[in-house]
Amino acid sequence: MSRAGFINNLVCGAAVVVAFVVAASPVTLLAFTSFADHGLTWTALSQLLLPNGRRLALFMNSISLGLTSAGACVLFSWFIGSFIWQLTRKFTMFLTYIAIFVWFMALLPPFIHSYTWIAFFSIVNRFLALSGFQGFHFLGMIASWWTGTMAWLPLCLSTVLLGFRCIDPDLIDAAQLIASPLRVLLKVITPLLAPSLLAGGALVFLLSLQEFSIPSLFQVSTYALEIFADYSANNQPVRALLLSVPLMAVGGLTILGALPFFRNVSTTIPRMGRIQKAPFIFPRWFRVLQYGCLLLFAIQVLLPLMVLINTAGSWERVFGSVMNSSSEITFSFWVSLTGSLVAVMLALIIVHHTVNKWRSVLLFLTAISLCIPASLNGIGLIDLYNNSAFQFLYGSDFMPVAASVTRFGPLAWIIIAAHHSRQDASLVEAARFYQVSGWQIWTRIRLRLLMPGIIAAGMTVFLLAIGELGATLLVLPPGRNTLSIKIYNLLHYGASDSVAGLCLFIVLIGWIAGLAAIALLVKRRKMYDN
Amino acid sequence: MTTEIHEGIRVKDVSKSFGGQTVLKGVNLDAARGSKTVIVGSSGAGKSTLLRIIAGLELPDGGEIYLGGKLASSNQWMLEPRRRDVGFVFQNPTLWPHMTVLENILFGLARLPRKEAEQLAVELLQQARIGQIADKYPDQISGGEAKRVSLVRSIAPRPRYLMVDEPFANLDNATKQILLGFLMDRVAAFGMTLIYVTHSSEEVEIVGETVVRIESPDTA
Repeated sequence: MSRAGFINNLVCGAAVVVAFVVAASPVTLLAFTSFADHGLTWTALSQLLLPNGRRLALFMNSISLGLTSAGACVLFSWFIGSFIWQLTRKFTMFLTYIAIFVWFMALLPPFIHSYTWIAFFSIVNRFLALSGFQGFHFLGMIASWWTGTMAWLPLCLSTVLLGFRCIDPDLIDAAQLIASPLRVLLKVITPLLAPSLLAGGALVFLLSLQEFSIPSLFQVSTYALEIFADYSANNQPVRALLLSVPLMAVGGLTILGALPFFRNVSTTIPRMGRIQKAPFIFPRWFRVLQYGCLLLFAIQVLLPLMVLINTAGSWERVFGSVMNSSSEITFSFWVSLTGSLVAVMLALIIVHHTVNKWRSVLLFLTAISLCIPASLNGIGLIDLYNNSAFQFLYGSDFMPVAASVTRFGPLAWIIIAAHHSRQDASLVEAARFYQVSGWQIWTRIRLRLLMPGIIAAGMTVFLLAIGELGATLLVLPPGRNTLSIKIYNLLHYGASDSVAGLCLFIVLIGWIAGLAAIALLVKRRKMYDN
Repeated sequence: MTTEIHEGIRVKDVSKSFGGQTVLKGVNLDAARGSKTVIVGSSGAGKSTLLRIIAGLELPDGGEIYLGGKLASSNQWMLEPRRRDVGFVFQNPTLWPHMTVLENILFGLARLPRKEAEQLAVELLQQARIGQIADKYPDQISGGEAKRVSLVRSIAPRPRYLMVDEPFANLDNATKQILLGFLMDRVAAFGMTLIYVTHSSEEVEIVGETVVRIESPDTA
């Protein structure tokens, strides 16, 4: 191996180590320290490792909630996606804009949806009581499933819309000449869309497995909540780690099964030039199903706004709630902004050095990070930093920032890596002929080409970090509170105007971020068109 | 105008623009039933767009398209592509990647009983000298084979009208000769009305009874 090759491999290796430190080091270290000194008998270990009795029931609750939510999201996304795709065939860019907006809707914290539906049924029950009818008890598994499905639907839908956008229009043209629109959808489009449908479903399943804020608010106990509760009661990291193994195993198996499909999710978006104008009209019964699912999505997007505005009472009250929580909001913004900046910078280093050679390693590390329950990440961070060497970091603002980077950093590098792989390598190679330095190529060519991916990654991490709950609950420094934790704690006391005001504030941030991303894209397109 | 022309393809004063740029302006073309017309012209002259408009994949901004004497497209109305009885050989093979070669061809033969359709598809594949790849997926075959499959797929349903859009560019001469021979043989056997777009003078000589030149509205 040449010296340059050796150095290149060394740098690649270092970048992979950085990636590993970001994604998996807290839990890996937790595993080592816990097993070195666990103090548990083998019987106790096996009981924690293999769910039985009550824990088995909780485990089954988690699996069934995950499966049913994923199934419903995939079905709804297929109908809604086909409608939006059909509608935007003449204006293909709109499909991209809608997919981006839906993606930002997906980043709203799940507890907002819980609050929305709790508040909605409280309004409905008030009207029913006035009419002398008995109200609904919107609690239990069905309530939890419905709210979870509504919370994750945008995530699955944005993946499916991206899938639709990536289908080569020529393949559809070729099919349209010989088959009916429904047959084209079933036999050509859906198989081409299958990787996106399965990837969307797998994402919903994984997130649903680890989610406990929705089920807990609807009085459903799940396995993810058990991990958090057990650690809170016993303060034993090894118990949390062992309890997490079944959840991580199911997550790992899901990712192993879904990975080939994730790989097949095309990132090659056809150029805008081809506008399809041939009529593509589905049968009436199919259109009715499409409208039904579209109505669901409209409810998903608009109900939180309407209910929250209604419950908050007035914009003065919203303003009052926001001002009363100014310290939590400032702290949340500080943590999320710092977390997203650190995540993006690390992602740039990792992607720059590994994207061509170590793509599988990056995917693997992202997969691992998706399998680790949020609370276990928090416990791992405590284990990593709660010692004499890092005491200056433990108990500081660094901890929630580290929680955000550990949880969402891998998403940042996957988004940037996907954008990087779509770049035309010859654009960078062309710059080399002009004898400019590597730094100039990096800042003036590569960074600018990557900018949409960097912005998307930064915004994604920022919004997810704003709503982060599971890990932050455990690593929050004394005297500090985040917006999401304040809302989550208040939610246990029911719907109130102050909670509605704060939730509305987060929803508006999501809308503004989504619209800002679209505005940036439109501006960029205009720049290229000119 | 003769009855023969009415039964073929008639393009009447067709115009088309994309984003303010005029691609076709007042184009007229008559192709009698069973005739072979070659369209030539510079790059960007709108040859492919014209084929797509005839096939119903694009709506003209102005003018009309008649197929078999019946209105198929105007700027306000268009007949669905599948109801036009048009086959289309695209520049790229556009094979559906999740279907085998045989399944790609069978997709257009749904109206026939399965056994009969399979027999026809296999027969055509053998005539195109690619019978051995029937069970392979598009990513398992070469570019030349993919173009042959694309040709067979378009011909198999025996469309009344066949649009062929520069399908043999980037092919070696021997393969091109084989494919052209196969195409012309099938077109004659099935009595199809052929409209063929090419840049190659050699193909013009082999295919064309009638040669039509289209120029870009900017240069015309």
